[in-house]
Amino acid sequence: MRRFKMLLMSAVSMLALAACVPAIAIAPPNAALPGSPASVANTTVLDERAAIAVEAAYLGAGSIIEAATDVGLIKGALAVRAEALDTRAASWLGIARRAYDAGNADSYMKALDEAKQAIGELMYIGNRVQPKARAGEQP
Amino acid sequence: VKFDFVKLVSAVSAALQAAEAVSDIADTIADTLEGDDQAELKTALAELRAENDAARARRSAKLRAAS
Repeated sequence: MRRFKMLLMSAVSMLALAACVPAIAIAPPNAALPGSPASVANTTVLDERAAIAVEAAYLGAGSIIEAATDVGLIKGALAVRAEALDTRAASWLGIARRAYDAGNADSYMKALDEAKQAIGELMYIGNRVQPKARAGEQP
Repeated sequence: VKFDFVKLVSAVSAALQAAEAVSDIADTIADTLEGDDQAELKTALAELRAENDAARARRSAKLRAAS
């Protein structure tokens, strides 16, 4: 789970970089700002690739959980634990999706709105994970 | 050493099922990522999102039933 979370965090970082790097690398010092994040994001497929990789990772992990549940290997307390972890992974996936959507928004206002929602979610999860991590439990 | 045959068959069956699912996903993703067409990638991403949402809902129901 920690590795999966790290993957999601890396993907979120990649999505942010994918939107910023081309503008920094290509634009001359006096160039005007691009009209929207989407106009920058549309010059690269790095953000789509990163988003697809994250979605695929979650789909693969989910398939394994579902198959094990189908044959009764996951049940009782383990099922409760798996559901909790799945919920947490889905929350991180939601953040990755918001980061992608923000990078491809039609306007900066929409991008800011998406970013604010993502940050709010991130803080919510962080607040829930931190006390457990400090107590020595696996997040 | 005692073997629970049913459990053993279940475990192997689950492993094969999961391996098949992951292999299918990996093939699909590999095909998708080979392309550079942005529209195609966006479509693939949208389909993956929808698939993930459906799978998550189905899995959640199964896990709750099993708990």
